[in-house]
Amino acid sequence: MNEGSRHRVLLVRAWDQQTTGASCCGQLDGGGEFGDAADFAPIRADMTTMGAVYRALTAALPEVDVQVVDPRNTTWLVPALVRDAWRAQPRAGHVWKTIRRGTDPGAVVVDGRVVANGLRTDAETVTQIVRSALAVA
Amino acid sequence: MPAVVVLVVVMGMFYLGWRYYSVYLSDKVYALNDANVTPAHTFNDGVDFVPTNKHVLFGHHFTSVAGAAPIVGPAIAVFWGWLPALLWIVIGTIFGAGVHDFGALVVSTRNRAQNIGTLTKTVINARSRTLFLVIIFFLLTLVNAVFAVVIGNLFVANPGAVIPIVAEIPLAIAIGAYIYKSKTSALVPSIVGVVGLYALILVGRAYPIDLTGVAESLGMGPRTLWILLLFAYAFIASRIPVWVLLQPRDYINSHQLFIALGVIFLGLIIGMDRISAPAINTNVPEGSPSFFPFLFVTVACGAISGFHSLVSSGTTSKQLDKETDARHVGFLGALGEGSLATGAVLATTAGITAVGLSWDEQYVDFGTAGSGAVGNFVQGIAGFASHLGLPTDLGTIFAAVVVISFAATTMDTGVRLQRYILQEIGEMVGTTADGRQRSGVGGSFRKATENLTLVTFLAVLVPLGLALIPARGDAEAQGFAFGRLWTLFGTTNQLTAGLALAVIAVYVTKQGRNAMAQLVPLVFLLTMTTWALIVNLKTFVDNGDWLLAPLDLIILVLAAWLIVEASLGMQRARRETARVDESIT
Repeated sequence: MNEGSRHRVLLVRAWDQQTTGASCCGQLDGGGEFGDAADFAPIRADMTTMGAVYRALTAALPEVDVQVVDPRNTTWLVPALVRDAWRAQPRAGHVWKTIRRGTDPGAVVVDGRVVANGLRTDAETVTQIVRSALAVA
Repeated sequence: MPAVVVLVVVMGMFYLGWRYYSVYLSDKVYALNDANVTPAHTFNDGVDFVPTNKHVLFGHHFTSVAGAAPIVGPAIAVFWGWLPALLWIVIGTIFGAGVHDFGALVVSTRNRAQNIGTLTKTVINARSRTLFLVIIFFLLTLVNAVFAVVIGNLFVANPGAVIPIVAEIPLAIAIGAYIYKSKTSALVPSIVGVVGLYALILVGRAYPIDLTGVAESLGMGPRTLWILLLFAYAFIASRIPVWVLLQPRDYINSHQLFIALGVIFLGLIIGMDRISAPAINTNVPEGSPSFFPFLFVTVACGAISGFHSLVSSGTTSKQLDKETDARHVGFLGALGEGSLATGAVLATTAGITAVGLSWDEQYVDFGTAGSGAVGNFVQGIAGFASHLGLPTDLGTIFAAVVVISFAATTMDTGVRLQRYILQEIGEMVGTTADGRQRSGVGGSFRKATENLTLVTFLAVLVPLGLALIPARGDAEAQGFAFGRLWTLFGTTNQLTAGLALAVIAVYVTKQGRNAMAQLVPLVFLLTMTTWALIVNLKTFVDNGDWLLAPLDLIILVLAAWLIVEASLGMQRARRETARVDESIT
C-alpha cells in the first residue's frame, strides 16, 4: 500500500464477520475460531469476486493506494467519501451521489468518484475504467 | 462533582496511557518493527488477507468490539461508589485490556494470523485449547442467561419498547433482502431502518405491551414469560441464516452505537449534571458482596474482555498493514470500550438525577442495584437525552431500544456459538485419534451434537434454567440473585482474558523479553476471579443453591487448570529462553 500516494481507490465490500452486538461475548465469522463458512455464503461470494478486482488493480496500478472497506464501517467510510467527493467536485449533489453509490456493495470509488461496481463488472474492465479515471484526474 | 470533570479526567488518563504505556508496550515489550512483513502482505489475496490503512482498520475493529456488556457491569458496580468503578475501568482498560487486545493482535500477526484458540495450542499446549473451549462454553451459557434477564427486566419496565424491538426483526430482514438482492447502497436503507425504528418508539409509547395479565393467567411473573419468549426467539433466530437477520441488523446497530455514544457524551457536556452518588459508598448494607474481589468480576467487559482476543486475532490480524499499526488498532480499540463503560458509570451516577431519580434509593442495597442496574442506565441516558431536547419518556424508550437491540443480538449469536462449541466438543470427545467415531458415551454425544435441532435445544436449555433462577423471592432477592449470576459471568469472562494474557506472556517470554506487563494483570485477574468464586461457592452452598454451586465449582476448577497451564507454559518458555542464551554465550 502507498499511504503517501496521491490517488486513492476504495473497494467497498463486507467481510464475512458479524460486526456489532456481540463482540465482548461472542462473535460470528466465516473463517475464524467459531463460525460456519456457510452462514456467510453470499458475502463470501462477493469477497471472492472483489478479491479478483483487488488483485487486478494492485497488479496494474502499484502506485495507487487501494483500500478495501466494509460498508458497515460507516465511521470511516462516510467521512472519507465526503472528503474525497468534495475535493473532486465541491457540490452537495455530487457528494450525496457519492455517498449513496459509494456505499453500494462492490462500489469502486476513485478519488471521490464512483466509477464502477466490481460485483457487476469483470476485474479487467474495472481496471481499465480506473486507469481512465486516474488519467482524467 | 460535575460529571464532565470526571469525563475529562478519565479521557486525560486514557490519553496518557495511549501516549506513554502503549509506546512502551510497542517498543520494549512487543518490539514492533515494520521490517517484519505482516500476513496481510505475505498472504495478500485481496479476499481474506488485505493490507489495510490503520484508520480504516480501527473503524472496523472498534465497531466489532463494542457491545452491551460494558454497560451492565459498571451499572451494577457503582453500588460500591463511582470512584472504585471508574478506577477499575481506567486501570483495567490501560493495563489490562490495552495489553490484552494489542498483544493478541501482535501474537496473531507474528503467527500467520492464527486465531487465539489455535494460538493457545501452538504457543502453550494442546490441553490449553480444550480449556479454552470449555471456558467459552460456560461463558456463553452465562451470557445467554444474564442477557435474557436483562432484556426481560427492560421489557417489563419499558413496555413501550416492545413494539419497536419486535418490529426491528422484519425491518432488518427487509433491509437484508433489499441489500443482498439489489446489491445497492446499504447506507440509505439502513438509515431509513434506524429512522423507522425510532419512529416506532412513538407507536410503542402509544401502545405499550404489558404481559402481566397473560403471565399471571399462566401462573408466572411477566419477566419469566419474557425470558421464555426470548429463548424461543433465540432458538429460531439462531437457526436462520446469518445473512437473513443477524447481519442486516449489524447495519442498524452500527448506527445505533454511534447515536447512543453521541447522546451520552453530548448530553453530558450540555447538561453539566453533577454526580449524585458517593465517591465511595460507605453505607453498604451488611451481607452485601465486598468490592474486593467482586468489583473486578462485576466490571468485566469495559475493563478487560477475553472475547476481544478473538476479534484481534480474527479478521483484524489479517488486515494489519504494518506491525506498528497494531498499537493504533488494538490499544485504541480497548480505550474505546473503556469510554463506553465510563459513559455507563456517568449515566447511572449523574444522568439519573436529570430524570429526578435518587441515587441513594436506586442503589439502597445490592439486590436493588442488581435488578435496577440496566434500568438505571436507561434512565440515565434519558436524562442526558433530555438535555438535547428529547422528552424523558421517549428518551427512556430510545435507550431501552438501543440496549435491547444489542443484547438480543448477543443472545442470538450466543446460542449459535454455543451450538458450534457443543458440536466441536462432541467431535473432540467422540472421535478417535485416527478420525473414526468412538463407541460408548463419547460416540453417542458426538452423534447427538450432529442433530441441529437437538444441539440448539441443548444450547438453549441450560442458560434458560440459569436465567429463571433470579425469578424466585421478592424483587430484592431477585436482584441479588441476578447480581450473583452476573459476577459468575464476569469470572468466565476474566478467565477467557486470563488465558489470552497467558498466551501473550508465554510468547513474549519466548522472545526473550520481559512479560511483566502481561503477568501482573494475569495474576491480578486470576486472584480476584478465584477469590470471588470461592466466596460465591460458600454463599451458594449456604443458600442451598444446587444449580449455581456446581457451576461455580466447575469454573473454579477451570481457574485452577488455567493457573497450572499458564505456570507450565511460562516455565517452559523460560527454560527455552535460557537454553538459547546459553548457546549464544
